[in-house]
Order: sequence, then structure tokens, then C-alpha cells
Amino acid sequence: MTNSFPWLSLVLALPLLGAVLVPVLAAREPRGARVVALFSTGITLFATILLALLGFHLNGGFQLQDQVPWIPSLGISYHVGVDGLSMSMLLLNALLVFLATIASWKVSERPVLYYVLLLLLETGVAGVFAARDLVLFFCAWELELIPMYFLIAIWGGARREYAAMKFLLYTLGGSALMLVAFIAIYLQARQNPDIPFASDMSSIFAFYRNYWHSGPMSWAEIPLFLMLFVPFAIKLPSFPFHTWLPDAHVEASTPISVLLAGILLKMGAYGMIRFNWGLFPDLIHQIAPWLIALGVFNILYGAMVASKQQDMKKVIAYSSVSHMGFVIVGLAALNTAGINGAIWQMVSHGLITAMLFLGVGIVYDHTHTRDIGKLGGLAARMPIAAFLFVVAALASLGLPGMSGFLAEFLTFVGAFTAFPIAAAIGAIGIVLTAFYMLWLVQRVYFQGPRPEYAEIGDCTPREAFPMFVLAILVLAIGVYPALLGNTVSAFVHGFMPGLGL
Amino acid sequence: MSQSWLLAIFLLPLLGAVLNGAIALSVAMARRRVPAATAGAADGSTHGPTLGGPHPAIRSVVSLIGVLLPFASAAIGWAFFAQMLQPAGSRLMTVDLGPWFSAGGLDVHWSFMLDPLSIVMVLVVTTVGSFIHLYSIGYMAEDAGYARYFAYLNLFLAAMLVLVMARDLVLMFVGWEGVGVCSYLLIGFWFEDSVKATAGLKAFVVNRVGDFGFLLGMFLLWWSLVPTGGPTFDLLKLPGVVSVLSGPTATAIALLLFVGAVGKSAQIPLHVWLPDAMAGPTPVSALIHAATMVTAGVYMVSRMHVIYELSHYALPVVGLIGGVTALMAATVACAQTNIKRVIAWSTISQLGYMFMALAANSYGYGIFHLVTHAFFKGLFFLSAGAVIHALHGEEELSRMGGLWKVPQLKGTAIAFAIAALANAGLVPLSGFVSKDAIILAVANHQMPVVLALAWLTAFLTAFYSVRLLLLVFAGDARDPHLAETAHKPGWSMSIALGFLSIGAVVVGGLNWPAELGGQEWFSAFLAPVFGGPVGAPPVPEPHAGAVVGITTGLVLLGILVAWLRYREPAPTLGAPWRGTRAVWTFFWRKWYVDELYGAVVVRPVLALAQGFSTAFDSFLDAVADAFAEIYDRGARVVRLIETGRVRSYGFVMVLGTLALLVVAVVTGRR
Repeated sequence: MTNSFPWLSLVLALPLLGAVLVPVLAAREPRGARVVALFSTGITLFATILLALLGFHLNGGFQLQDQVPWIPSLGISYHVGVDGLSMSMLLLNALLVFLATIASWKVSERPVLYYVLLLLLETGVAGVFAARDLVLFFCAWELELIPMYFLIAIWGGARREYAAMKFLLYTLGGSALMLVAFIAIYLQARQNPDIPFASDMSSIFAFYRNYWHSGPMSWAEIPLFLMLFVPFAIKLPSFPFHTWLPDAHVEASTPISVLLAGILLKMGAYGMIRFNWGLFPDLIHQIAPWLIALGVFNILYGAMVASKQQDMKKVIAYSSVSHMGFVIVGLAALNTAGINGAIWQMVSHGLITAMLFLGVGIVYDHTHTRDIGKLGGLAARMPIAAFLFVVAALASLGLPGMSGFLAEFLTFVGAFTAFPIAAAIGAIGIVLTAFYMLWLVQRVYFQGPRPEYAEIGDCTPREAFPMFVLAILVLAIGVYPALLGNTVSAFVHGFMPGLGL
Repeated sequence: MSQSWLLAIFLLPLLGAVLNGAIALSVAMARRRVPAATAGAADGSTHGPTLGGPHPAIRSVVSLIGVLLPFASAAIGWAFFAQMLQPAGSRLMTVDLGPWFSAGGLDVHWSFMLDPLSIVMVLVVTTVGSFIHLYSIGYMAEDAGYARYFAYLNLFLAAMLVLVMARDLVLMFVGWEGVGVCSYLLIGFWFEDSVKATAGLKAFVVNRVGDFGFLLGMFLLWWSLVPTGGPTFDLLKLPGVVSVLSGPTATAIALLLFVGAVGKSAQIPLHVWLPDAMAGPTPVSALIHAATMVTAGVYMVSRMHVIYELSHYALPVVGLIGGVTALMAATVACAQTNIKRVIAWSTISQLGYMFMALAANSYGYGIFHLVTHAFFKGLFFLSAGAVIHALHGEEELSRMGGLWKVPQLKGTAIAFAIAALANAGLVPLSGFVSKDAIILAVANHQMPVVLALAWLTAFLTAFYSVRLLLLVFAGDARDPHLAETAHKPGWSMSIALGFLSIGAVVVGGLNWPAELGGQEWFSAFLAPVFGGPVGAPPVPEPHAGAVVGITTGLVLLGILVAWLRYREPAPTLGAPWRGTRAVWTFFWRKWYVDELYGAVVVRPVLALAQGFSTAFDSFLDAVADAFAEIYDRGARVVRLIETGRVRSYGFVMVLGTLALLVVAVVTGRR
């Protein structure tokens, strides 16, 4: 079924290849694992960028598709393809895993297993963003889960097993619902003889759009919608399913937190766009006010709770709840500006939150604590780290000229057009975010220097490099969003008609 | 000169910020390797400069970059201004660097412009700004953060110039937030003092409340223009399209935008951050918190004046807020005991006058007061800074007094006196010209309440200005030792004081009111921006002479009262007259507004956050744990087939789900 060389599948297979090569090449010298991993993730990043530049066209729609029958009797195929949304997420994934590998340089405990899991994680996440078949999507979704579980449970902090299990159970709980929904969707589609591959997402979406449109709204839609909404809301995470996130972050090591917040949360948003918005365009229009309310609540709730945390990582974790609330708000606005804003927010939050977690990691590595009450005055001792963290904090509070502003501005323009009052309430978030972010900066970096940190050094070039790269990107996108913007708007352009807009 | 040169006006300071920022980071890295260097950082004085300046060579490079680039930027600004004055010269220049972002009909460009209003702002910002940069060479010479200081100050200049040169409202917001960040960084410049760091945080967060209004105003403007088919944020196109707005919509947009102005320009009820902002170095107070950034709100309202004029209520509200703020701030200024705080409250009060002018449709007068204020209030702060610097960082009036007798401070005293009297509005200094024009405009515009507020404020302004002057310089020194060790300001500080002194005296001549037989050259220059009769000489007020007479009488009375009370050898700081103690304490405590906000806003919000985080979030977590517990009990039942290893656990789950899928599919095929 493949028309040309399977470039996309090749790029997807690169980290998998790396995962195989790590134990082979690093069998004698476990410390060599990181070099192999660095090369694998580096080549994957390079290949993904090349794919985006050379193989990807902005004319919209799914491209670089590879499809081969997998279980033909059941209508299941290996089918991958990318559109603007997928491409953006693949780039984010490849970038963050590469930077996380650099941030993992000091991992000394079972490095071979660590890097194998990291590369498997990259494969799984990329698979989620590229899958065009329900079964493949589900397998990729589960494939991401297992490496993440072990990465928290083995290399995590004191309560790592509790946190890892919590992460696993929450996600599996969601997966179970997703599976039931997928089966229902699949069975329905399978009764239609016109569909060659009953689990093919493109066919299913086309089929369902006609299906819902053909009659009055069916009550069967709502449970199906919820079974697909809850797993993605858990992943996002949205209130009230968010409490796994702070625990997972606190216990996870720095690079794992970077990936967890930077890219894994985006799977939730991605799933919502694809399935909830893609499959239920009519229903979405009816429940949009509820979704806006949920998003606004997330923004304010996350910000409020973040302001009272004592652990630096928890502040950032709850800020994710708040910032991913913007995604729901933008999507639920159901207009071009809002949906553009939501996708910008996915990319932007991925970069900014990764920076913030890297910054927390530097503080922890140098002071051995993340307790805000025990920190203070670090700017005098670590000026470079302080500078980078302040840049990240300013980006996070949506300073114009950085990527976050674009995302929030478009989100609110969109949301205000649709629901002015709710958008106005949500915009209070910009005040709260400024407060908790700058208060965090103040308590950690400002104030009088503490004697116990009189001897600590600044971040090393290796520690600073990932944050520096991200800072450049956050600024570059903020000033010249066309770098990525055309990819995003090409997707939105193609996506709007599906919503009946 | 090609129009694209106008970009250099803000790019030069931006370059300075980047270069000095790089130097600052290198210096900080080098210093860090010597732990003892920062040991004496917090010496407990109210004045912050960290002991031990940078290496002289580094300091020279930083000074050259940090001061020459702003002067170069000013020179380009003046060249454009000269071009605008040519009879055939265009009064509008634009540069479009291409799209910034576009989505959903929104199409925002990196586009800049110079029109008469923008060029006036550019000249004030770059000229007064450059001299304040020059002054900083002397003031900050001993500070360890010398390069960082100039990096921030240059960055501020760049952001402020973007603000006033933006051709698009969203782009203006870039500058708006940019100056806010620089203000935050500079207020908390001596971040090792947690009071100063907190003041920076407070400034940013309170301003964000204003920005919240600004943003909502922008969204509402956008939303209201959608039906016209061509919604835009382009400042040159907006006047042409907003006429479709209905009165109530225009009122809502105007007032929401005004919330932003109230935040930035420290008007009631968002004025609380500015007095605390005095924690920053004094040149910063002069540049950001007197001459330029705080006037951004006045600039923004003037720039958006078309929308305000569509509404019957917006401008009266602006005038009333301005008037009440002016009076309230003046009362507080009368009772303050810290030299910078008096001037800070005075700034809030003078900004109130600018808004009164806008409310009277006299945008030209408002902007003119902005210009004269930049000179005399910049001078006020810089001469106060020279006093503080001479007294080794002392800011409390209780340790000043008698400084006129210190020969090293004669020049400073003269500059201080010019600033105080210009601020008081004494004929014929610049402050008199611009303030009297505003009061005349308010009288012409039939705004009796605002007029009364303006008059009362004029009296109080004269009183507190002269009170401050006398408390610092008159009588005998309250701290003779401190006065003896006072030193002269350095050359760079003296040049800046001299330049601003001349400015504070003469710039009034640019717009001597027509009622007083003058030529309103400045208003005429701005007239193309504000259109129509606005800014042109108003209909001659029949009682103009009476209005000016009353104002001048009030000013002289204020000066006289202050003179009588504070001229004696040891003027006291407390309540000046018997029986005024309660009211003086009320003024001194700033009308208890901070306490009110603490009780009504800050503590409830924090309590709610605490409730959310300790009670509510933990409850959710407990629910989740309870589910897990149930799951765990269930799992124990099937322990026989469970290995206890999560590894196999997860794997089996995946296999199981896949198996389930297959089964379901097979049964479904029937």
C-alpha cells in the first residue's frame, strides 16, 4: 500500500533501533550506553527535522502515510501518517528526548536499562502521534506506559514505587475505558462493508461524521464520548484526575519529569483533538460551555494550588494543570484563533515546562533539596542557573515575545469570541501565574544568601545547554512563530471543516 | 534619512542590553569563583549598593556601551524630529518588518511608526533617559551589579521605545509588558534584600491586574469589530473603523483599557505598587517610576482617544479617577518621612493631573504635562538621589536637615529647589505652565468636581514640595555627623542635574497657554494626531484670568504655609499642628489602603488557595487512594496467579487487553 519509500516509518523506527543497539554496543562498558543513546536520539531529532523540512508539505491533510495490512481478517493495518499537529508533536518529542538524554548524563544506576527504556518511551510516544489505526494507536499508548512506569519506579525518589504505581493505575484505568470505546467504534464501523480497514482512523472519522450527522443526536454518543474523554483528561491532566501528576513529578528524576510534563501530557491533548473533537463534532458544539468551564476551572485551580506548594517540583506540576487548562479552553472555543492557541500552548508548554523542570533539577543537584523553605539566595551563587530559570518563569507567565504569550493570546481571543464571561474569568489566571511563578523565583533565587549554600557552584555547561536551547526556541517562536506556525495553521485549516466550521 | 532608520531608535538600546547582559553574566561567573567577594553583600543599610564595584576596565566598557547607545538613539530621534518639522516633511513614518502572527482573522505585524505623538514620547524617553543613564555612571559606580544594572536599564529603554513606536495594539502590549519586567527586575535589583525583592514582585503582580483589564479591553475591541468584517489592532486603521461601535460598547472597551492605564500609571485603586517601587536604585525611580514608564498609561489613553470620545462616560470616569488620585496622593505625600516616598506619591499625584487633562479632551495638555513632568520630576529624583548618595545611602528625612550649609551640596540644593518649585507649580517654571493649562482646560470643560480636586491638589502640592525642600536643606542638621561626611556628586551626576535643571525651567515655553498670551506651539504640533479642535487653543475662557489667579494664589499659599511651619532651625517630622495628629497618621499610613487590600484581597485569595491545596486536593487524592486500596484487596484474592512483580503485571495487562480486543472482535463478527 505504500507508494514511496517509508520515510516516516524509518524515522519512527530509529529510536527502536537505538534501543536494540544500546545493550549490544554497551555490553562491555555500561557507561557507553549514554553515548549510544545520545547518538540515537540525536539522529532521530535530526531525521525528524529533515522529515519536517523536506518531506512535509503545508497543503494540509495526512502525509507520508505508510500502510500495510497487519491482521487483514480483522481489518487491522499498520498505518502511520502525519498532519501538522502530529508533525509538531513529533518534533517536540524528538527534541525533548534528546535534551533529556543530555540531562541524564550522570545516571549511573543500570544505565543500559535506563537508556533502553528512554528510547522505547520515545518510540511509544512517537507512535501515538503517528498512528492512523486504532489498534496501533492503542498499542503505542500502552507501549509508552511501561517504560515510564519503570523509569519512575527504578530511578525515582523515596516514594517512587507509590508514585509509579499511581501513574500506572490512573493511566491503565483510562486505557480500559479507551479500549471499550475503541471496540465499540470498531464494531460499528465493521458492519459497514464500504470500509476496507475497520480500525483505520481516517475511514472511521469519515464514517462517524456522516453517521452522527445523519440523524438526531443519539444518547449513545455521550457514554462513548466520556469513555474517550476520561483517559485523555487523566493524561492531560484535568481536574479531578490530576492528583497522580504531582506525585509522579516529585518522585521522577529530572529528565523523566521533563518528558512527563513536556511531552506525555500532550498525548492527552492530542487524544482529545483527534477523538473527542474529531469523532463527535456535533456533540462538542453542545457541550462546549461545559468544556470551557472545565478549562477555566483548571486554569484557576492549578494556579491557586501551585501557589501554596512547598516543593519546587509540585509548583511546576500544578502549573501544568493550569497551563493545560488553556488547551481545553482554546479547543472548546471552536474557532480558528482558539484552536490555534490551544496547539500553540501544547508546543509552548512543552518547551517552557521542560525548561522549568531542568531548572529545578539543577537546583536539586547542587543543593540536594527542592524544599522552597530551605532554599533562598541562590542567584548570588548560581547566576547562570538563576538567569535561565527567570527566563523560563517569564516565559511561563506569558511574557510577550516568548512562545507562551502567543498561545495564551490566541486562546483568549478565540475563547472571548465564543464565551466572553468565561474567558474573562479564565484571564484572571495571568495574574495568578505571575504571582506564583515570581514568588517561586524570589524564594529560591532571591533574598539573602544562605550560609549552607556558600560553597555551591553554578550549573555546568552540560546542565545549562538544554535550558539554553529551549530558551532560544521559546524566544525564536515567540518573535517569529512562522518557524512552526505554518505547520500549526495548516493543521487547523484542515481541521475546522471537520467541526462543521 | 530612510524611514527604516527609526528601527535603530529601539534596536540600539536593545543591543546595549544584550552586550551588557553578556558582560554581566561573565562578571557574575568570574565573581562566583571567589566566595569572599560577595560575603559583604547585605550590609544592612537602607541603601543597597553592594560593596566593591567591577574592575575599572570593565566598568568603562559597560559605561560606554550603556550610555553611548542611548545617546545615539536620542540623536536619531532628534534627526527624525527635525525631518518632521520640515514644511514638506511627512508627519508619519512607518516601517513594517512583516507578519508576527496571524490566526482567525488576526494579523499582527512587527510594524512601527513615528507620528507627532510617538516622536514626542521618543524624545522624552531617549533624551531624559540618556541623561539618567549618564547620571547612573556616578550613582552606581561602586555597585557589584554594575553591568547587570546597565543591561536592565538599556533593556527598559528598548521596551519603552517599542511601546511608544508600536503601530499595533498587540505590539504596544509587548513594550507594555517589557517595561513591566524591567521595572520588576530593577525594583528588585538588590534582590538579596527580601523587602526589595518583594516590592518588585508586588509591582509586577499589581500591574498584571491592570494588564488583565488591558487584555480584556483588547479582546472586547476585537470581538466588537468582528461584525464589521475588518477587525484590526492596527493603530492607524483603528480610528477609521471604531466609529461603528455603540456607546455602551465603547464605554466598556475604554474603561477596560483604562484599567491597564490605572495599573501602569499607578492611579487609584492600583497605585499601591509605586511607593514600594522606591526600593530600586534612585536613577531607576527617576527614569522608570517618574519620567517614562508610569506615563505609559497616559500615552495609551491618548493613543486610543477615539474610542474614549465615542463614550459619554469613559472620559468623565478618567477625570474623576485622576482627580481623586491626585488629591489622595498629595495628602499622603504631605506626611511621608522618607525622601523618595514623598516624591513617589507626588508622581502618583501629578499623573492624576495628566488624566484630568485627557478627560477635558485636552490631550495636548496632558502630553505636555507628561513632558515637563519628565524633566522636573526626573530632576526631583536625581537631586534626591544626589542627596542620598552624598549621605551614604540615607533616605530618612529624620537624619537630614541643614544640608544647605554643606558646601559640597550647594549645586545639589539648587537643583533640588528648582525641582521642588517646578513641582509646586511656581510661576514661571515648567510645572506651572503645564499644570495651569490643565486647570484652565478643566475649567473650560465645565467639570466643577474635577476642578475643585485640581485646585485642592495644587495647594497641597506646593505645601509638600516646599516642606520636603525645607526638611532636607533648612535649619540645622539633625544628624551632624552624616552632614559632615557628605560628598559632592560626581561629574556625570552633575551634568545630568544641570541639564534637567535647565529643562525644568525652560521647557514650559514650548506651550505657554494662549490665555496668558502665549503660543501653544506644542499643542499645535500634536494637533494632527488628536484631530479637530482638540489641542488647538480652546475657546477663550471668559474667566481665564480668574482661574489662573486662583491657582497661583493657592500655590503661593501652600508655599507660604510650608515656609512658616518648616523654616525654623529644627523642623519636626510629625504632625505639623496641634490636633492634626489623627489625620496626619491617616495620611502617613497611606489611607490604610495596603492594609485594606491585605484583608480583602490578598489574605482571602491565599486562604482559598490554601483550602484548595490542603483540603480539596488532598481529598481528591484520598479518594484515588481508596480506589487503589479496593483494587489492592481484590488483587490479594487472586494472589495465586500474581507474581508480585509489577513488571510481569504490566505486561500481562497489555496482553490481556489485546486478547480482550480479539475476543470482542470475534464475537462481534457474528
